[in-house]
Amino acid sequence: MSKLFIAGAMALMAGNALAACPAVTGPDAGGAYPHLFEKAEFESKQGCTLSFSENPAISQLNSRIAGNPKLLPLAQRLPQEPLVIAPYQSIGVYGGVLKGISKATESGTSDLLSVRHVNLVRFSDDLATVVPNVAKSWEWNADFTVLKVNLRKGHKWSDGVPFTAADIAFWYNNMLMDSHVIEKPKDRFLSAGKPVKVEALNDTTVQFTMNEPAPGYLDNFAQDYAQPFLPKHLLEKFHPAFNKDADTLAKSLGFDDGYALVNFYYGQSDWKDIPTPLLKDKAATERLVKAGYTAVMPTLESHLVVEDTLEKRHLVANPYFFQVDTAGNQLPYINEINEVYIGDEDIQTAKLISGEVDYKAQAVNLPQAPVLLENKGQGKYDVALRPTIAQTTFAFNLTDKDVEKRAVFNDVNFRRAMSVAMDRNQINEIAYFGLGTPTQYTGFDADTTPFITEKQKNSWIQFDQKLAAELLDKAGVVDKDGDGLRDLPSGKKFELNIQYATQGTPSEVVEIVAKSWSDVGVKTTIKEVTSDEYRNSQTANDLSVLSWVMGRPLANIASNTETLVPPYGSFFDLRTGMLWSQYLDTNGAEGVAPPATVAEMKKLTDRFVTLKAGTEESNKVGSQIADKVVDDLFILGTVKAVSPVYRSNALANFEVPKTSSYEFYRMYPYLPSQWFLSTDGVAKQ
Amino acid sequence: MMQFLSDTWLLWILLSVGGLLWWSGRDSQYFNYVFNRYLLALATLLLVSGIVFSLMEVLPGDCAEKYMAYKNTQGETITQADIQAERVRMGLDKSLPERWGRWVTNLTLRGDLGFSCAKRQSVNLALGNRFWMSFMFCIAGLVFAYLIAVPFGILSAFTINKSWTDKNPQHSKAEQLLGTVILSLQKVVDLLLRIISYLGLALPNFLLALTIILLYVFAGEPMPTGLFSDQWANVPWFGVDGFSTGKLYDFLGHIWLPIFVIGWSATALQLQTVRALVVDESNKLYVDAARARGVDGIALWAGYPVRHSISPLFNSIGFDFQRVFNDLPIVAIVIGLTDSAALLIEALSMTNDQELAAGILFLVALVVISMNFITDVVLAAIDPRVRKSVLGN
Repeated sequence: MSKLFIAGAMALMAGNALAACPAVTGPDAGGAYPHLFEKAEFESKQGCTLSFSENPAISQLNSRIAGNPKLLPLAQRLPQEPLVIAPYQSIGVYGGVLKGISKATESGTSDLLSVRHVNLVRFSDDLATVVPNVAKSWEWNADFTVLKVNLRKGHKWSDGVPFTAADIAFWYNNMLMDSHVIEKPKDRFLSAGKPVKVEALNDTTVQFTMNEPAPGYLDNFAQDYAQPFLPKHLLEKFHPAFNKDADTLAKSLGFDDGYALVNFYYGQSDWKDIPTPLLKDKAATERLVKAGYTAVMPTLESHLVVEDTLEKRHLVANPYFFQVDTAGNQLPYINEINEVYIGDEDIQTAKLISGEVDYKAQAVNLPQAPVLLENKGQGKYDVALRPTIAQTTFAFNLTDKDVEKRAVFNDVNFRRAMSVAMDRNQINEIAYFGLGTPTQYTGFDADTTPFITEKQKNSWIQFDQKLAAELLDKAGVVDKDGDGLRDLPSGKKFELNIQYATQGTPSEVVEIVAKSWSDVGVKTTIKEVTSDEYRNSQTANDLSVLSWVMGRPLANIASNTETLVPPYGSFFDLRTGMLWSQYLDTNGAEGVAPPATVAEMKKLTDRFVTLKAGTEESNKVGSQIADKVVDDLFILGTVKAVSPVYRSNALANFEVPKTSSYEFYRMYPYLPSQWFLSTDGVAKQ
Repeated sequence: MMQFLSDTWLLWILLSVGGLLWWSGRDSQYFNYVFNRYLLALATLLLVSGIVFSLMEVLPGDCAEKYMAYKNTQGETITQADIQAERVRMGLDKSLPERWGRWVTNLTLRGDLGFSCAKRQSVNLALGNRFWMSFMFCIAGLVFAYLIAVPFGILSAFTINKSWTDKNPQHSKAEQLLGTVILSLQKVVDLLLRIISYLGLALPNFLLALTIILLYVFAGEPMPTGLFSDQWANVPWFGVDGFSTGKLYDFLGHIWLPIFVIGWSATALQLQTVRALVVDESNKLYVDAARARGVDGIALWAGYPVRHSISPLFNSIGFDFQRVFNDLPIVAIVIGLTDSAALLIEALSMTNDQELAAGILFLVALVVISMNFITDVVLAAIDPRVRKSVLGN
C-alpha cells in the first residue's frame, strides 16, 4: 500500500501542485506521527488540495439525534484544521451498523466505549508515542509545570456549536471543582493535591499551570476515559454560577434546581458507561427537546447515543466529527453502533459463535477461547489471543474489621507464606492452557516496563509448601487444637472466605488458590458474587480476601500512582487498607494509622510523578518502587495470561491490538473511526 | 384544585369504586358480597405491603449506604457522618411504621411507589412499562398453558379407564376395528402428553432455554434478542400501507420462545390438575345418575364432570400467575429483556434496593389479589354452588 504513497510523491515531483490528493493508506502510512497528518502537512507533502465529501446518509442520521438542529454544509461542519487519518488498509465505504455486546449499563464491560472515544491526545499503536487527536499540538515549559494545548480552529460540537478552550476550562473549573457537581475531584487531575490552574488563553489555546512538575499530566489524557471538555454552551444555561435564573429555568423544565439538571445531563461522572438522560427519564428529555435543547449532551466523539434502554444502547455517527481520511471523506465510515446487553456468559458465547457481533474483547475470557476458535469458520469471525497487562491478583484486607485477622494479615511472613503456597504452574496449566507466565505483582506491567528485573518478577513465586509452613509458624498461625488446621494466634478458628467475581478472577484460579492455601493448613472457602456486589463489599471494608485483576503500564503509573498507595486502586480495582486510606484522607481523624512503609512509598510515588517517564532518574525511582511492592507484598501476583480479541471478518481496517487490556483504553490507539464494514472485509472500490 | 386532584387521583378512584359497590349492595345481596370482597382485598393488600416492607428491613445495609457507595465511585471520601446525613435526607432515620405509613399514603393517594436508590429515579419510572410487559408475558404463558392443558387434560381423563381395543359386542366387526383405532389413538396421545408434561415438570427452565438457544446457533440463525429485530424496531405498527404484518411476525418470532419456556411447566402442572379433577368428578354418583337418564357422549362430559371441574381451576388463576412470575427471570436471559422479575432479583440480591423490591412485590401481590377478587366475583355470578355457599340462597 505504500506504493500509493510513492505514487503521491511522484505526483508532487511532476509539479502538479493543485491535483486531487492521492488516497494514502497502509500500515506504515503517516506524516509526523503514524497514520496521522495535519491537513496543511498532508497538502504540502502531496502537493495537492484536499477536497471533502460526506456520508450520504448523514442528514438522515442527524434527524435521529433528538434536538439536534438542521445540518450545516460539510465545509462548516469540519474544522478548518481537520485531523487527516491514513487508514490501516484502504479507504473505506460508508454505512452499516457495528454490532456489539456488553453486560449492562454501568457494568464496566463496554469496550465499545473506546470505539467512539476521543481525548486531547492518544497513544499511537506502538503504545509508547503520544500523538495529537482533539488537540492539534502542545508545548511544555522546561520544568514541566506549564502545559499549553492548542486546539483545532473551527472544531464543533455534535450540535454545530463551536468547541473552544473555554469548554476545557469549564470542565475543570466549574464541574470538577464545583462540590455541587463532584464532591471531591479525582487525584489524577490534581497537582500536589491541589487544583491545577486551567485558563483559556484564547479560543484555541488552553493553559494548565501545575503546582509541581507533572510531565505525565498530558499523557494521562491519552489513556483516561475522562474527556476533559464539556459543552459549556449547554450546561452554563443551567449552572447557577453562570446564570442567576438557572434554578427558575430548570424548574420550568421539571427539575428541582439548576444543579439537578446539570447532573441530569452530566451524570456526576466523566465515565461514558453511565445512563444517559434517555435512560434516566425519557419524558424529561422530550420536555428538554421541546424547549430547544438536545436530549443528550453534545459530544466530540465519533458516535453519539440516540437510544438508551435497559436492553441496549444505539448510537449514530457524529455529523461534526473532526477527522477525515486521506481521500477527504469525513469519518467515521460506520453509520451506527448497536450495543445490546447480554448478562449471561453462555448466551454471550453463543452470540459470538453465531457471528452476531462485530468486535468484542472485554469480558471475553480465555476459557471460552477453544470453542470460539473451533467455530470461527462458520461464524465468519477471527479470534486473536493477546497478552493482558493486568493479571489476577490476591490480597488480604490490611485493615480487616476483625482485629486479630488484621494483625495476622499485617505480618509480612503470613503474606509471603500464602504467596509461596500457591501453585502457579497448576494455575497456568488449568486456567490459562499453559499460555501464561507465572509472575509476581510488581505494580508495573512486568513485560513492557524496562526497569522491572527478573528478580522482582520472580520473587516469592516459587511453589514451596515447606517454606510456607515455616513462615506461617513464624507468623504465629499454628494448629492449636490439633484438628489439622491452623488457628489464629489466640487459638480462635482461622478461616478465609474468598468472595470473587468472574470479571476479575476466573473460577479455576480461585479454586486452585483456595486448595493451595487449605493444603498448608489455612482453611479457605470460596463464593462467587456479582462484580457489583464484590466492588461494594470491598469498598465497604467487608471482605478479608480481595481478588481482582491488577497491574498498569508505566505510561499510566507515570502520572497516576493510585495503585501504589492506600487504598491501592479505585472502586473498580482491587482495594485493601480502606481504613488506612480513610486515616490519610481525614488527616488522622478517622480510620487506622498505616505503617511506616506506606509513608515511604508515598514519598517515592510523589517524586516519581514529577519525573519524565523513561529518563534515568525516573527509572531509578521506578525500580525502587517495584522493589518496595514485592518486599511489602501487599498484593500477590498469580499468572500473566493472554486473552481473546474477537472481530468479525466483515470489519475492515481493523488492526489487531498489541495487548488485550483496558490500559491504553482498549481500541483507542488503533483508530476505530476508520473501521468500516463490508461483506468480505475489504473495500469495494 | 387541579394540583390537589392530580396528587390524590388514586384515592378518589378507590373511594368511588367502593362507594358504587356499597350503593349497589344496599338492596342486592350479590353486590353486598362484592363490596365485602372489595374491602377484604384492600385490607389484604395493606397487610401485604406491611409484610413486604418489614421483610426488606431485615436485609443488611440500607439505601443510604448503597447510595454513598455509588457516590464513592465518583471519587469521594465517605465518612460515617456522610452516610448518616444521607439517611436523614432519605428519611431512613424515621421509624419503620412511620416510613411504611408514608409509603402507603403516597401509594394510595397517587400510585407513587417511592424512590429507587440504586436506579436513582422514582420506582414508577424505573419499573415503567416493564411491569406491564412482564404481566403480559405471564398472561401469555398462562393462556398458552390453559389452551393446551384444559382440552388435553379432559381427554386424558376421558381415556383413563378405557381399554385399548373396542370390545363392544353390539358393534359390527368394522365398527370394532374403527373403534379400536380411535381408542388406541386417544391412548397414545394421552401417553405422549403425559410424558411431555412429566418432562415439563422435571426439566429446569434454564436448561430448556439454553438448549433452544443452542439450536439457533447450530442452525446459523440469529438469536431472537429483545421484542423486535433491529429491522422492525422502529417501524410503526400502522404505517402508510396499513397494519404492518411483517412487524407482527417479527414480534411473534421473538416472543414465542420465552412464552414457550415459561408456559411449559405451567402446562404440565395444569394438565395433571385438570386430569385429576375430571377423573375425580367422573366417578361421582350424579354422573352415573345422568348416564342412567340417558345423557351420553360429549353432552354427558361437558355438562357434568367437566363443568364441575372448571370452577376450582378458574379459581387458581391468581396462584398460577404468581408461579409463572417466578419463572420469569428466564425471559431476561433468553431474549435479553430486563423484565420486572429480573429487576426484583437485582434489587433483592445485589443492590438492597428496598423500595424497588417492595414496589415489585407489591404489584405482584396486587395482581394475585385482584385475580382472586375477580374469580370470586365471577364464580359467584355463574356457579350456583358458589353462589349458594356465599350468598346463602
